[in-house]
Amino acid sequence: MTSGSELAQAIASVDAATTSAELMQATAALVRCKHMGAIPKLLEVIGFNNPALAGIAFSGLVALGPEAAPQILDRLDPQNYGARAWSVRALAEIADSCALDALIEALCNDIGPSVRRAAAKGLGNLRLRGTAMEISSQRQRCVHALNHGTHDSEWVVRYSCCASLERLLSTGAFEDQAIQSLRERTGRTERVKVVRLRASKALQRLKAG
Amino acid sequence: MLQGSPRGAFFLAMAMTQEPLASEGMPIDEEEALRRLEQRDDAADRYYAAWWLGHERSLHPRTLPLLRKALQELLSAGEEPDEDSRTLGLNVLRAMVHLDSSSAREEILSCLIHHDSNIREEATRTAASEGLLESVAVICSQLNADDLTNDRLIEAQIEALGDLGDASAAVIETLVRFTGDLRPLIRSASLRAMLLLTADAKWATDFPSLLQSSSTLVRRGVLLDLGAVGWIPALDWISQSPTENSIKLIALRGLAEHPRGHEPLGMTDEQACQMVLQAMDQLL
Repeated sequence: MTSGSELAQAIASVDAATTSAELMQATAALVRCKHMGAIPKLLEVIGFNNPALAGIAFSGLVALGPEAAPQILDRLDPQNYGARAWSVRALAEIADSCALDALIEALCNDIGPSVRRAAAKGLGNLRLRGTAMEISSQRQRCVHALNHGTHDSEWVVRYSCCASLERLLSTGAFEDQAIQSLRERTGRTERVKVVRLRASKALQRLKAG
Repeated sequence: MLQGSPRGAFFLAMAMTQEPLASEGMPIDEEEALRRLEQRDDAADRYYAAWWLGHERSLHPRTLPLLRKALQELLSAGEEPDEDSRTLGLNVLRAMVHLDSSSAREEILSCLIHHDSNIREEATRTAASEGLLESVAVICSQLNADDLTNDRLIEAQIEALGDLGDASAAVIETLVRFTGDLRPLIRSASLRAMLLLTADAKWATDFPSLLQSSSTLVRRGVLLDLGAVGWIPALDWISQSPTENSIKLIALRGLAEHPRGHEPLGMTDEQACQMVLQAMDQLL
């Protein structure tokens, strides 16, 4: 981790950047600081509606690991769903279970399909913590939210829920309702072929076709 | 009824999500939509009803006759219809993409040569989604005309030729002229059409450089073109493009649903599809 003054300098370089190329360079330098103090600026950059730039900031957040999750959670941008999607993706990738409530809330209620998609990914990916009973209850909540998400109006969210259900079910006890949700996605009620393909793949891998 | 291209579907989705204000806070059912389309007092209600019937994929026996009627009104208004008929007609044509509108064949073909270029553009998409092969000659002659300044219309026409699947010499000759066009989206659309019609990999060689465009809009359009073709050799180009994952996922959906170009790579359909699903999982 770099010193506070180096961090301040890296943040100042991001603020001083006047072109897209400079901004990318300055953000990459800020990421290299590997400093918790970089999080607010990385989250700001993520909201600039520049996918390549957001990708750099995203990788920086992920590299900071579980310690970064609470700050990211506190700073989810209610106004900018593009930025929120990247933040939720970072939470999904970091996979700390402190994000559980926020991910469930995002999957069930966020207006941004890309946010719901990322939240669904996160719910299949979390490293759950606690006693066996606590883990089982958290897992139930993930499965329940993902089952709900398989009825989302956006195909990509349904797709993401199928992928996450496969992941969750492959690492623990089967849930009949989840298998049922996947079977439903392979059938005629699912209008989008790629969702049917993904649900079939999940069932095949779970040997539950 | 064809599904339409992902790129066309994307732009249509953009247009279709612009619900008129009349809908705010008032969910309606099919009967209400039909009633609103049939009445003549409130143009906004008719506009919304047409959108609703397409969006909900209405199968009601009165849906198509009422939508056709709206197009007939537009066509009988001559070269310059009033704005209400015109905007209603545009929404009707968009709605028909989602329906089996074969009974409206004549109206769609008439709209294809309408004086208004927006109507021609929407009718081109509708004709392609409906698989109206009669439109091929019309579209070719329009693309061979001198005035080719309306980029959106040209893109829709080129895409339609690819989607309609007629690989006759006249079509190929028309399309080849655009494969070197300086306008990147028009070049991309024509390469997409050529790949669809010929599956010849030589038409894919320009895509990596098109995907390096500094314009986000161009990169998005090119990705959607590759998705429309389902071009499996483009999997890595798509995955690594500096574009938002939402667009990459739409493009990859096309590759998973109708893979092409993978046989020379020694892959089966199933292998190609599994590879695409794996790439999609990484982008969620």
